[in-house]
Amino acid sequence: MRSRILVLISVLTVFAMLAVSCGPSASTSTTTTSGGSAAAAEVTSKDPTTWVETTFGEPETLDPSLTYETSGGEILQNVLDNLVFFKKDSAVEFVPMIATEIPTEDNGGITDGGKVFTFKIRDGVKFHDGSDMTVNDVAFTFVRNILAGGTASPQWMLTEPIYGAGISDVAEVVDAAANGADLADPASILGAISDATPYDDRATLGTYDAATLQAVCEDLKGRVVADEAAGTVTFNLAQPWAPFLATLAGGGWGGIQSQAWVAANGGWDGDCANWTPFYGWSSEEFNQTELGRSVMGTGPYKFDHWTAGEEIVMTANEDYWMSEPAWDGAPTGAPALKTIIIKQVDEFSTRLAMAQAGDADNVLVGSTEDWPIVDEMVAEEGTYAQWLAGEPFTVVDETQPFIKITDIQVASNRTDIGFQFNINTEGGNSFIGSGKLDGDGVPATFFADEHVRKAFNYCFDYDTYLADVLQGEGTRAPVLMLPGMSGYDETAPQYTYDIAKCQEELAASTWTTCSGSEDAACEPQPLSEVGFRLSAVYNTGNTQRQTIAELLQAGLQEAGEQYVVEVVGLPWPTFLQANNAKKLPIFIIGWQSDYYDTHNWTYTFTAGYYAFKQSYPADLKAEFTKICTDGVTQVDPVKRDQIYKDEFNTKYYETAPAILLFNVKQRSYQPKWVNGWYANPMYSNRWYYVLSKD
Amino acid sequence: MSQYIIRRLLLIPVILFGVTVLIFGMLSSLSPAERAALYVHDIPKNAQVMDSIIQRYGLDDPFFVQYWRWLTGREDVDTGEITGGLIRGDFGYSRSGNTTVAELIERKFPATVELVLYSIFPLIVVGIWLGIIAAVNHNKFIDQFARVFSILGYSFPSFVFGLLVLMLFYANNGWFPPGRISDWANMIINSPEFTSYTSFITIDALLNGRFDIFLDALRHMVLPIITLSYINWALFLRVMRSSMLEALNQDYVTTARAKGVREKDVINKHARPNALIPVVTMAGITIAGLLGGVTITETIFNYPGIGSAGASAAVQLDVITVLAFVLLTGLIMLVSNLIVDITYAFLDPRVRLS
Repeated sequence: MRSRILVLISVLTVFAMLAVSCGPSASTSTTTTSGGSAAAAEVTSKDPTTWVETTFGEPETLDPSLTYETSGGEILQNVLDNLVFFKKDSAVEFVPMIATEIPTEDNGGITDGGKVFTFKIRDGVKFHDGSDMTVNDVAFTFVRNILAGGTASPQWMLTEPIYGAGISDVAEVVDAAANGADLADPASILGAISDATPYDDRATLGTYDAATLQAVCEDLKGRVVADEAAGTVTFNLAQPWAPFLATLAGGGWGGIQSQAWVAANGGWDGDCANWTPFYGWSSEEFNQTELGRSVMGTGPYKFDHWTAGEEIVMTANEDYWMSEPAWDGAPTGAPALKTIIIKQVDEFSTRLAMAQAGDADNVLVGSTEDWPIVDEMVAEEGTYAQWLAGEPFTVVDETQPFIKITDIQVASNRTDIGFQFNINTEGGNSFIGSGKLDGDGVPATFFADEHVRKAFNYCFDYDTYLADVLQGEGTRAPVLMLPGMSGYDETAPQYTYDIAKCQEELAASTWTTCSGSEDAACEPQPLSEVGFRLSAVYNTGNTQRQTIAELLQAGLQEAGEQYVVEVVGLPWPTFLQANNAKKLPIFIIGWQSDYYDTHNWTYTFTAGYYAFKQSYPADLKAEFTKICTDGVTQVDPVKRDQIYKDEFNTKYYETAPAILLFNVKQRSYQPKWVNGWYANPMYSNRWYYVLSKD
Repeated sequence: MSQYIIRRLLLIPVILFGVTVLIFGMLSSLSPAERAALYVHDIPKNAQVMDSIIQRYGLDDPFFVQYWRWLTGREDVDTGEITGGLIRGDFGYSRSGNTTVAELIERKFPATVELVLYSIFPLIVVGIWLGIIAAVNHNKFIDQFARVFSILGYSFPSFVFGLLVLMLFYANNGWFPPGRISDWANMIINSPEFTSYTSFITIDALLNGRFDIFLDALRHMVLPIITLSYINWALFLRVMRSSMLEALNQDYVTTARAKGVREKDVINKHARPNALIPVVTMAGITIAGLLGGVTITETIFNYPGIGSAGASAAVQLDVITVLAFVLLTGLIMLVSNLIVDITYAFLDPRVRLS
């Protein structure tokens, strides 16, 4: 009897499973062809007003002063409005948002030779909590963000134009002020910053003289000024700053917040007598308050909830202020999509299955290796140009759920290969073998020789990299900056894969050695005879970096057996540690534009972060710094373009501090029901306001 | 018996303390920079970031200082207030989970427990049943079939089998979706009209009178349950089968048969209870293991349980979260072992706990 009961329960369980499976799915409808012979299953979206975005990785925090990654940036981009925003898919053209017009010299928005930007602020805009947005909220947003600062934050993008090029954090301003700097003079600030600057250390910052701290805050308020009567906010910059609009347009750091909401949720209230307790908060600190767990603004979507590790939900702002289209064809009024659900789905196959079943509205591939799998499910394919023009795509298999869009040349990032000019040998460094030029290693300053750097440029097989890693979808980067940026020049000279020239450069190297000889007056042997051995290191799992290392290895072996590059894989933390300690002789220098402007590339690579990471010699760094400063302070776009083309690009090519690789063409797979999508390289994923579904 | 239980219970905190020292010591062998890598997802854009992180979290402090801070909390230099510390019930902040560790466990653990509870019947009861069927039909077709069927499941890597059923029963027909609940149901659960009493969605749904949400939650658990069951049946089948075969060959079974007891009663009343004893241990360990998290199954089916969260923390070297999860897993194992031992004593009168 018991066995029968058991069998009965088992059968009932199976039936229950089947019954449960017949719940409200309805993602698949069957359409019959005209001949009536074949039935094609057509997957449709389950709910045309709800967008489900599957992704991996989630925001570190939602506070705009600290958010510096795309997952958090995506939420801020949809919940907050910036003063200006990008015009459709362009990263260099802007439309007014909270500002009523783009400031120019002609309309009086840009004055004092490009040092003063005045924004007229839109009337009648309300925050999601129903309160009015005022000019004071706008000014408060920027003052608060800069004072919140911290080295992990993106605030350096605002401190540089406001305090002066090279000044990256408000802690430096305080330290300089305490050391007697004249805050009106950028050079004076830069010169007075001491080694004791309390970066990220609000306890020490709070020990500075109270009057100094208050003065720094008041000084900042004098640089970002709200004028209630005129309805304007004015930025008084330390110097003309060509990329200022680009900086304000992108990223959460430019998103306008409510002063009252920030103060009510545990943030700074605007009182200059008490700002240091709010400096340098970590994401953990923010996320234990509403400041980090939620966000409130004037944007097209209202933040609903964030269940960490699972989902973030936004709902439509039915009272969105946009009454005129920002560009031809742009939407107005309330968003078409009423609910946005951003779901964490770590596994690619699960994300794909959800899109197939109509439960997700995007297809997020993990890497180019996933492309062939999704290619099997493509209904139609065409280029991005065709997509924008509304031209018909090539039909592949109409029964499949996805549309494939190729040739999207709008990347805001690139991966290149950098040389370490002064390799760290402290405590030993196995990546440079013996540490000497004896055929079994390289000396610490191996790459200080220009000929060696040029040789490596000639010994890299660019075509194979394009074919194997990028699957043919990329164009060679002729210069450091990206297409469309000031100074971009397709006709600029570039290095090609040329073993003979590689050998020539190695033969021309100034490196010689007497290794193995006891005789001080020995006949020095050139590098081309002695050879070398060093390691090209990648973080395990990163096949792109691995292939780059292997291509260098193969190219140099081709140039001569004495040139040995060993390919070494390290776990990410160890790789990061070695990279941070400047122990890697060759390393990947990937960069994601913070704002779409040449300065973000030229300065970063040759005068700022990578100049430090690559240990540029002081004279080389000084030369590049001068060119970068000349470029960024030149407000005339034609003259600026010429500075970069004539001076920067030439210098960069001649000195070859890195191997420039490819500007990658993107590829996108969209479910068939998606409307309104376009690619803007500076978006943090999507601006859902422009999207809709069939 | 009661003295034995009290002694075992008192030992639990001591063992857990030892476990934390061991794990903390092992994790401290990572360099400060390696541990700071948790906070940096790509090569940092700002050169000071790494040093700042190490300083902020005291990652270069001596091992015992860091351990003591984790145990007793950190003093705020501004206010002098001591915050955090395990002895205050504060497990710290989970960087990988973007919330406090306590909140992370509070949210993820019920999901895993719910999945495991619904998995117990098909996993253990059906596994045992298959073992009995196989033993009773020793070397007949049904025995061979059950063994091949279950061993096939055991041979499948769970990620392969999981993806297979996901493709078969979801991607093309939408029958059994991944995740824990559908979006429409989630909206209701997150709304004020729905009260969470237990954090188990199925139970809460019934208590709120939402049978549709109950069914939806069940629907989401079907594929993980099938995967967990199928890949574990072979273990139970083999242990139960051999144990049952041994029992069926015992003298008391022969005696029962000689006395004319019906074969069904011989199996169910005489052989099966004794054959179950070794299975109890295995069931206890299996359930404890499942409660510790079913990482791959949870990841494939995007089920937000403790397993995927633990794996994510371990991969990112999130020391604070890993420590808390080790404590939780250790606690589960200790308690389940205690329960198994006590159950043993009840099942087998020959066993005396002392």
